[in-house]
Amino acid sequence: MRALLLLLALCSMAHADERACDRARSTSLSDGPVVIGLYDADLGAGLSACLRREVSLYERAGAIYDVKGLYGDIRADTLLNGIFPLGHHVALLATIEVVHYELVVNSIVKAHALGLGQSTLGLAGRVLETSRFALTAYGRALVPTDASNTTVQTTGLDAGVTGTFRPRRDIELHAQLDGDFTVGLADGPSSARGGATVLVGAQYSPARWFGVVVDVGAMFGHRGAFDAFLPSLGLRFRVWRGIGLELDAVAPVAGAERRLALAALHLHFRF
Amino acid sequence: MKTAPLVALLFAFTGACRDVACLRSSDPSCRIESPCQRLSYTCDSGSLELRTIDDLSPAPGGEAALGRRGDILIGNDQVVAVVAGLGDQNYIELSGGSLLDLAPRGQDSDALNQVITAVGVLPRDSVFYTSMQLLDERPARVAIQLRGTLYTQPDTIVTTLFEVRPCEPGIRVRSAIFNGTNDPQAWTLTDGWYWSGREPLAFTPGVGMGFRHAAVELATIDSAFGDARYLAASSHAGLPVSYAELGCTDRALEGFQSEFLSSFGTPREVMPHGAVRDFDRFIMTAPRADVAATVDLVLEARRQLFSEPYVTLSGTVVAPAPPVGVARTDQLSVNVSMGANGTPYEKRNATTQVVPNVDGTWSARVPAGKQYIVELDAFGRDVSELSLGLVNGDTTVPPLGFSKLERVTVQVKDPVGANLDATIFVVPADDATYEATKGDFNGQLGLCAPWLGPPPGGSPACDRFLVWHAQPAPLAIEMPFGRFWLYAYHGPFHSVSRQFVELADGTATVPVTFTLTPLVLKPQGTLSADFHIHGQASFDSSIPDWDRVLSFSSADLDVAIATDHDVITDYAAVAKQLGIDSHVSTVSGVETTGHMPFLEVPELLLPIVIGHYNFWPLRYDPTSPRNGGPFDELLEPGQLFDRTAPLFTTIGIVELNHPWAEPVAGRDLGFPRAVAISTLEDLPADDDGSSAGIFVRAPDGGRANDAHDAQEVMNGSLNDVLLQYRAFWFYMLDQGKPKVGTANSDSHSLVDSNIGSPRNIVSTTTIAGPTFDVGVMDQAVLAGHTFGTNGPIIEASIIDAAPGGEIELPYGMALLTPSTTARLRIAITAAPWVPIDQVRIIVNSVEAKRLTNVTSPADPFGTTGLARLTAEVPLAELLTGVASGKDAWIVVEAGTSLPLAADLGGAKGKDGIPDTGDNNGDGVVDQRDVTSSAGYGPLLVPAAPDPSSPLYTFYHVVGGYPFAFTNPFLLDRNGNGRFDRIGVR
Repeated sequence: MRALLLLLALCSMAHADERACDRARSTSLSDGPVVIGLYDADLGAGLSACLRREVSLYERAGAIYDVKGLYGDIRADTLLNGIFPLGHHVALLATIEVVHYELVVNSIVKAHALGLGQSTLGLAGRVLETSRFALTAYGRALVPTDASNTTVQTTGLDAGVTGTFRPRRDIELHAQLDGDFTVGLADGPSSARGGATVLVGAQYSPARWFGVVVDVGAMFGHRGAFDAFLPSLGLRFRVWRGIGLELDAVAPVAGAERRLALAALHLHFRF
Repeated sequence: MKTAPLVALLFAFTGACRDVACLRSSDPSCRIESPCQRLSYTCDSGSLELRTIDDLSPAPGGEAALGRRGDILIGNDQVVAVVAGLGDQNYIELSGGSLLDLAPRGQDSDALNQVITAVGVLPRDSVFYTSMQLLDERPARVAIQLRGTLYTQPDTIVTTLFEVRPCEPGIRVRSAIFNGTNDPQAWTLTDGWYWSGREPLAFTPGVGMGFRHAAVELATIDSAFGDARYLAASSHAGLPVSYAELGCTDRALEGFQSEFLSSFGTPREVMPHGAVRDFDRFIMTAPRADVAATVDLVLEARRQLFSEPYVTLSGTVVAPAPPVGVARTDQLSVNVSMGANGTPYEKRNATTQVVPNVDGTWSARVPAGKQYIVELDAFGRDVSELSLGLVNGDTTVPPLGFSKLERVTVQVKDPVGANLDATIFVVPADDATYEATKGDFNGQLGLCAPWLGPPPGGSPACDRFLVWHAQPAPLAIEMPFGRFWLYAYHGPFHSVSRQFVELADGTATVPVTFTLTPLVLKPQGTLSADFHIHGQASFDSSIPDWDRVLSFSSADLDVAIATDHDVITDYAAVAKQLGIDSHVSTVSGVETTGHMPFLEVPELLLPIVIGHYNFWPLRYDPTSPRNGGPFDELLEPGQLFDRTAPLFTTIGIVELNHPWAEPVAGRDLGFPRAVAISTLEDLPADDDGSSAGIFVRAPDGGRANDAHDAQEVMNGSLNDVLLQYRAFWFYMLDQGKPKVGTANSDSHSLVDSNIGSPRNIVSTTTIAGPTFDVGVMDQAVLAGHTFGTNGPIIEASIIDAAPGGEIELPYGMALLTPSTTARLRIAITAAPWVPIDQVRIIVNSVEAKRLTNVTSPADPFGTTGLARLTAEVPLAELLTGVASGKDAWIVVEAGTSLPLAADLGGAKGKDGIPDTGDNNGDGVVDQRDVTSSAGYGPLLVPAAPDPSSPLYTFYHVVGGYPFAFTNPFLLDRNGNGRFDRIGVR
């Protein structure tokens, strides 16, 4: 802890006139952790410590393929996500699954769900920002807008901190700690569950138009004491002024998590 | 983070949700809310009953009645039902809690195998109940409340309430499920109606539906799901009973229908973690053999639930009165469907079906405000129809008529004039009659020409009927107009007789008398026995006990082993009533029938069940579950053998049934095929992790999985899979594991297979009748002193030199060490109607010699020319292909030539078992014969012979083609006292 504070102080002293979130190759290029999210809307998903005004549309797909268990699940969501700064330190976070599609095969029975999915609303506040380091705390509430099923309405929240360290303009180191909790509202028992996710990663942006991000995360408590390691990879592109593109993939390994992989394609507009 | 208030708020929300199904708590004080609360019935003298069945208070009866000690009886003044007690496993559930029996009060007419609650179609999708409460809240209601989980998914919660109120024609049911698993699930909360074939047929309303449903296969079952406003079914044999189910909260539910299984429940849906689904329904019954009896009740219930109005159609069917004492079942049937005049059949919206009363009157409720077509089916054919146009009120339908019926009276006698039990087969004498009389029951139950009655039921069934020797007057049968041959049959040791009738008058009665002559064919000191017989107690049979037992005598069987699926039956009382117990002995046994796939096999995607095994003799205990039969699920064969051994009443036999039969509805029927044995490889000595290792291992250190005593070589009258069973039997002989070969009908009705065709001829000292000793017979069977046949009679022995003359060595399981000068002596006889053109001698799986100098009598209806061949063949000649010092086995076969077949594939590639026939008739078996999507097969049933064929008569009274085989002569040629493995070739 002492070493971390020392590092922060050094960074702060070295470039007192420059903020960490400005130290980027391009503001059109995404930054921060890979943003996929294994849960409804963007609950538990990565969030950059640098809160820029942005709207993004992204497609996310994931699958469970368990031949021995005679089980399969393919989920695809089209999400609309927005970050809207409210002043200098605070931003409003909003995400909605505009289209939620899920196909589940259980034994030899298939069923699918299609419709408006879940949403989150949240707030993020910059706790600390120096010339090379930024730390943001956030909280998001899961709003049960899912219209694709009538058997349960799931709500919940997550909260966490996300930080970024930028020793150079082309290199970003980031980390995030997130805790989440959900509960299903139905004519049945409580279905509360929750857990924590911790990740560290780095982004290297060799050019103004391109960056590559590699994260390693670990997830706990959702399905078991240890859910999974989450190695993830993102390729980030600046397309045009304020417009960026991002292709992400995460493949849970080890642990109790059953999903084979998730992938997402983001298109964002920063303004 | 101050999240605690928010969490508390969320829990408050959760608490605000109602827990109508007691999913949140296992507290015994929690009461599941009554289902179907908008339904209301009144009557003057309603009553309720709720009790645990014990030895003193019997359960309701009926062809499918299963309720036994420990099960729960629940009922009112209208209906009575039995719910399996916890721990009472039956058929496709493991825990108890399924609906076992349902019948109108006082009728003892249960025809329901089982209704289970499930979320899918595999066993793991069924519910495993762990607690049960009986709720006696008379006079308002009685109920059974159950709580459990899905089998193999402990994170789920399932609750079910069976509730009965006074005056109601059914049982209310509410089930609810909670998904506590971490993953979304694809579920349909549904009732699985286990019909299993030859039982009540499902009827669902809809265009092109009714009794007709798309073919259902396990792998593609998802595509068979469709909307259904209600489900109905009715019996087609035995006592009349009708069933129906409708949802109380949804106008339309979803499911699939087949003759094996129906699913009727909530639409398939994705249920995320935490989701809850409720299913309220009303299951009704009524005492009539048509679906209208309960569809009427459904429409009244829908009026109450959904304000749907209905009207009543009524009318009369004008037809000749049935003979005295004859109750028509499905011979006459009125089908009502929605449609305008001219609407083609496949576009009509099936609504209901009614069997007219004895006086021809009928009535049925239908939804109001629709156009209807009413059609009359008579003897399996649509004979007339009327278009009613728009129906807004109760309507009298103009009379529907059918008159092309004539009465035939039949007697069967022996040469001295005594009456005989017999089976009469009716065969159209020309193509015109065939076309004019072929029929079915609304596209179901098989095609028959003529169609005299429902094939699964009692006599008349399909194109045949039974004649009882003690009939007080000549048997009267109704037949449609046409020209027919009538064949009288009394087993393989009697002549067959036929008579021609032409029916075109409609007013006269045509008398027919047959004389059947006993033929000296059955070897001295033998019994003819069928070791594999099903009756109405089986979940896939509806044949009444009377007809079942009469069929034993009509086929001249000495011993009949009752081997119903998973339940023990005793036919002794019925045999006595029929007056045949002096010459027919019945034995109680069981066919254990795996329903729950559990056994993992290398390289196979799905777990398997172990198939079917026969065990006899067993003690019949009508107060115990399964009448004393063993619990047989989740056990490997060796474990099952160990469990059943103490249940034998004397020397018992374990028989591996139809070892290579195709799975039915995803359930394996034969263990060797289930584990995908390859007969191209030798069996390992013990479990080596392979499929073959599973086959030979002793799972609990007791009996091994391959420790059965006998194996069916012939199963069924058609002989359509003989080649596969024969190949596997030969394989076991080659492996040094000889099993007694048997030949059984596996008959489930009068139609699917004829009792005693094939049968076992057992050399034994006991005789049928009051002194019969099954232990003595079983000793002979275990010794292999038996041969199987559907007509040809084989007498075979090895003649060897002995001090003072010669000795005759019998075939069987005893090791023989004949000298080099020994001879195989063979004598073949058969009734004149049994064609035989060759005798084959098989040595170590190879046909070592074929004898074709077989004589055949010219007249199949004569009584002479029984002796077909006698021959002696030196053993040295037969063993020329066997290496010196190597053991050998010899089997003698007689009959006609075997169908061409080859091995083109298998579950894991070629396995040495023939699987494909010469299906294109080009004389070779190759890929051009393959029509199955599996890449090999099928083995088609040979086509019916034409009238000029020598097989024609045999085909019509037995089916298939003639075949007989002896058990092996086991030659211990190296004299080591063992029968050594010969090994694969």
